[in-house]
Amino acid sequence: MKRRDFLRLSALGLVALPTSWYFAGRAFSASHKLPRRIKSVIVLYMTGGPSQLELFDYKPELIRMHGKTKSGFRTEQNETEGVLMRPIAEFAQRGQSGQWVSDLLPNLANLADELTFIKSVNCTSNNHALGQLDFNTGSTLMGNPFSGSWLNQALGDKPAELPSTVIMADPLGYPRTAPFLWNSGGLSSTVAQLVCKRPADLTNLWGESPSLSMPEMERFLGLARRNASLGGQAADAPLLEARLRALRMSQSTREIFSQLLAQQSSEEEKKLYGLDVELCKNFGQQLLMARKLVEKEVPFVQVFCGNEDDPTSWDHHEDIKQIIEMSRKIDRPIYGLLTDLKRRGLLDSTVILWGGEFGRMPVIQPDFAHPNGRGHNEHVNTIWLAGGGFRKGFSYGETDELSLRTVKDRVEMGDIWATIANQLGIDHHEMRYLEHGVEKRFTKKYHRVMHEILA
Amino acid sequence: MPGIFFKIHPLLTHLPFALALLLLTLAHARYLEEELRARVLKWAAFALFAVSLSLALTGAGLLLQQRDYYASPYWHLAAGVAFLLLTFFLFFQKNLNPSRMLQISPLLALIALGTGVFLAFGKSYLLSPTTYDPKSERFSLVPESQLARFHSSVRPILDRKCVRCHNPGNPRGELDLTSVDSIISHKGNLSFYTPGNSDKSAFYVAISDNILSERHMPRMAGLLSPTEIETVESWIYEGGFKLTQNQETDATATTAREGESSWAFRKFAKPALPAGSAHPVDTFLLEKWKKLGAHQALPLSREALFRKLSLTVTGLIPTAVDIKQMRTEWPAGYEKSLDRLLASPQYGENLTAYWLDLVAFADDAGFDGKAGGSPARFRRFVVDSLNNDLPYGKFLRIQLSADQAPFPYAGDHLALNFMPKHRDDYVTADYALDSVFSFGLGIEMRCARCHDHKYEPITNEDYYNIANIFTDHYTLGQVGEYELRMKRGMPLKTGQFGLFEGSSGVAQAASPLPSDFARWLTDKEKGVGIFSARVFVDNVWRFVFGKGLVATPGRFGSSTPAPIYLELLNWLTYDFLEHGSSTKHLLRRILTSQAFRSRLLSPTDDPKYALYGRKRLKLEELRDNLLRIENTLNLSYRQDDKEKQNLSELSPSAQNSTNRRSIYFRRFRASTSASDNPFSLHFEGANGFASSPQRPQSPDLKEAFFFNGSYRFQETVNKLALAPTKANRNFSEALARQAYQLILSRDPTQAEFESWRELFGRDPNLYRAWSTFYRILLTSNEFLYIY
Repeated sequence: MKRRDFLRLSALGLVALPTSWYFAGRAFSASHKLPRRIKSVIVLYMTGGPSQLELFDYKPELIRMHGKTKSGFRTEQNETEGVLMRPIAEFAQRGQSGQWVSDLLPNLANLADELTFIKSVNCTSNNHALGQLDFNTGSTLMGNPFSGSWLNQALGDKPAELPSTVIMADPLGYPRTAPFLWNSGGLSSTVAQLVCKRPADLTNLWGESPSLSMPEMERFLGLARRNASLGGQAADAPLLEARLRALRMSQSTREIFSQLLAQQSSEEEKKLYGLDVELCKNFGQQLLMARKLVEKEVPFVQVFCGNEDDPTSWDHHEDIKQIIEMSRKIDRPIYGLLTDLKRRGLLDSTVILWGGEFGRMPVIQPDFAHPNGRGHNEHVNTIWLAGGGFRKGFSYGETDELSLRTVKDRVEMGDIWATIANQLGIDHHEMRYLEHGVEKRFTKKYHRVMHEILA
Repeated sequence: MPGIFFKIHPLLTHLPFALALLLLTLAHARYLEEELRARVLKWAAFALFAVSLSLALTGAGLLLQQRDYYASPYWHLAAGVAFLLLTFFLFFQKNLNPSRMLQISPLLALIALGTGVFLAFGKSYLLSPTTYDPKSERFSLVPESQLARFHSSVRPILDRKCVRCHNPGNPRGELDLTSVDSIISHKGNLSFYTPGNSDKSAFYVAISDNILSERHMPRMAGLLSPTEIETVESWIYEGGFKLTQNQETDATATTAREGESSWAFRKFAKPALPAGSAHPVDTFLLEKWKKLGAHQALPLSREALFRKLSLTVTGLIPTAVDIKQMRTEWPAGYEKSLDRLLASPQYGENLTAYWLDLVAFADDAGFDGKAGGSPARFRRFVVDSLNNDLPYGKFLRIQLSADQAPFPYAGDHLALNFMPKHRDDYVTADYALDSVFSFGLGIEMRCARCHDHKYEPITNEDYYNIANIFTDHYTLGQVGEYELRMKRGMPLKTGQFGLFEGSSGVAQAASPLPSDFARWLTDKEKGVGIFSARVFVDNVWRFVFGKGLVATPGRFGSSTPAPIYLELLNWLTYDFLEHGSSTKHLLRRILTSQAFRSRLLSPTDDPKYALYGRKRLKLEELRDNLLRIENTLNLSYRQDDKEKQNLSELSPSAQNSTNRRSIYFRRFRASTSASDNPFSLHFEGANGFASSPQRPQSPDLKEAFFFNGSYRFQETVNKLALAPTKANRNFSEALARQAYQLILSRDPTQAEFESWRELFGRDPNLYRAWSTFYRILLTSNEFLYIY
């Protein structure tokens, strides 16, 4: 559609607007009235729903009530009572701020003064698929664009060497919702995400095959443009330009990734990210890559940890003790990432968001042969943020004495995304577009920037 | 146990009433002796006093409840009972003055009742004759839309009495009543409201239930007054948020104007053919364009037209042999070529690719990634049916209800019945239902799965009534919502879903079967056959032109503006039905028109009038044509029975090595491995969850990774470039012409010749020059888009 046509349609007024949006790719643009305080966002997504009770939400009352029957609530399995189970980990107050962190995360606990905990996140669904969609796309309905795409569309389209969203999935597998998480909906194709499992996958996405080197690519692009100009009738210039731009980016991405992968990590760096431990290796490499991508000013990096189909995910229905291994898997790499970003002076310009779709129940889920696990609890979820102008060593929101329900400062992921968008200089209400006459939004109308958690 | 005790409380509190009345009557009985009368009067006075005290306590209990949400709703009842007992105790203190008690009691009762009513209904009935304004709670008699009525009458009630506990910051019971969105998206055990049926509406039940019930709302003070309850009931009775076609539409949902919105559901007749000797399709276009000015035609060359025809019908670019044959026959033999292409097995395969997108087909079931049924046989059925030109209605009916289909399909429902194929899988059943309505009727059904449709007249109940047709065979276990909604064998209400003018409800039978639904969908007389045929015609038009006559792919709804060329669409629909619902006839109609044969440009720039959309080769078509250019494409239509029935049973690498058309590759909805799913996760495309009448048409990064560094693309470039390099042949006009013919079906222009000659002259590396040459041709718009 030509620009002229678009203007013409707009001149027809409101009636024509949805139609013109439809044809124009339905993308929105943001006004950028707010100052941009951070450059990048790193999301560490724990697929499955990590237990807040074992990690951050300290409940002495639960220890006292261990073994007692609690009723008057409804679980995911529609049970109305259950036997309370104490957290399997010991808690302690950490750092000067005295934040409670369990000893499952001994390294991260040392950085408690850097973190902003939010213990009152509520999810609109207690189902994994919908919870993942809610966390990552702002809607439980399929078809909403991915968070990175929303934010990048709002940040605006700048020529870049690397894609604006890089996703590193767990090497064990994609989440089941992958086709719906990683889509850019009605947004422009330039904000599509790049998905890989291991950083090395990127260099052979479509099977091992030599690609054009960057000089070859540049030469090729010049010739292709010239050839198109000779072709006459079929040369649809903007379309070709978009393809050539994407081709160039495919090569620059490939080269930068190879370069970054080829960089030898020092012994100190290996140790910092836990690359010397088999368990931490994959996640550590992903986080190391995330740091390098942030250095290259990639605006949105997300690392997924855990895969629902695998016994070692964060979805501990049967045995909560599995969280010990999962915590060990992430503890050193995350400590390494935060420390590394801090000493490189990148922590203030980067936001790290850690969390999963929902929290877990204080009671034992009884459906198993040796019940020792916790079911989903969408009313309670603890996430934390680090860097990027958030209030350090601070805890926001409270749950009741058993962490069964949120009792103070209830928020939803939309509030968190609105706050992150604010730090990126985006008014979150601007992230919306019409699709078939229905308004799609990243955040809900009632979500707000949480100024209380900003420094 | 305490519950039982409290339930007799109303009896206890009302007993003194009866007792008092009885005693007062007795006291006036003439035959009573004076002494006895005085005693009876004393008893009556006591009873009245007890009643008053009890009422006063009820008021106090309500007052206390307001302060403490967590108090048991039975708190005041307990207090009431306790005090009743206390008054019995007081009775035996003989020094009470009966006449004094008689004087105090009515006053006490009046005050207690007044306070209770004020606390409960938020209104002073003692003063109400002076303050009550009946207009304030009545809605106007002027018809307003349900949404407007919600804002004017219902919302103020919510704001006054409900949002204190149901707001985003504090959504008690996970219910937020501050916005229309959140009310609609609320998922409770009972739907928040059920249009026309207040008893099935959680909203109404909560406010109107017995005050002692646990469900009763508001739990804090301020019950809804009878007028308020009546307002809510009336709003629900009229349909809740549901908008009827004549009512103004939801401002956030659509801006379509009144009248335009209902075209999709209105019955339509076959329009008269406009005057003119041109092709019927063209006469409709010319008729529309007459008023706008002169249109332009950019006729295509024979070769370009043949290429476009071949790509449209078979999805493959023509070979040199095909072109040679065409040259001997054309221009007179256009229809002969067309018939030959339509008769080739590749036609069915090509249309199958589109059909599988439409029906959201996948080889696996639901989220589990398990293969279900026999997808290979379903695929083959579609290819064969399209090649044999099975009438559309029958084609649809067999797919929807193969278990009741005639021989040779009978009993083959596992393979053919794509919809209830996965009856044990609610996820797939839901998506199948959604896609059936999308490709069958152009209605986005999935909205009604959780709430009444926001802008189509489809209720939540409609959805489950229809879902029930397809799901009564399977066991619905753990899914809470389903369990509550789907009562097995629940008869479908006749006349339900009478959305389409002139059609009956989905089925008249008490417990309809999938075949009843299929018959309704395809029956021209009683069902919605002409409507479903029209959606198919539009999809076929989109298949040919890259843009449908209806602007929104797969959506013919209230919010869809009436298409500019509606008469053409309606005429084509009748033409299609009159010719035995033959897809080949429909294609022949469209492909013989000038609209297809030459590029017709409408006289206006308005995109609404534009005929053509972008038509990019799908990744599947791209792969097939790369193999075609390499001359390695295996066109075998049917493999021997000894071989695997279907490529989808082979590993990805084995699939690739057979070089058969991509339509036989497996398609997975949910996959944990990219190699299972080469066509969806790494390429924007049909994901198998929702009907997708149109794939994305813009280049993106995922596509770029295919062109730069993928084995498949590099292989083709290598093969093409190595042939002249090995033979040590430098650029020549003959070689260039051959390559252009092979890939673009045309000769290069003089300017192109010279440009290439210059490139080859500068580049000493022959292989590099040839591979650049081919790479540029294979990534050009001209190759990747059908013009």
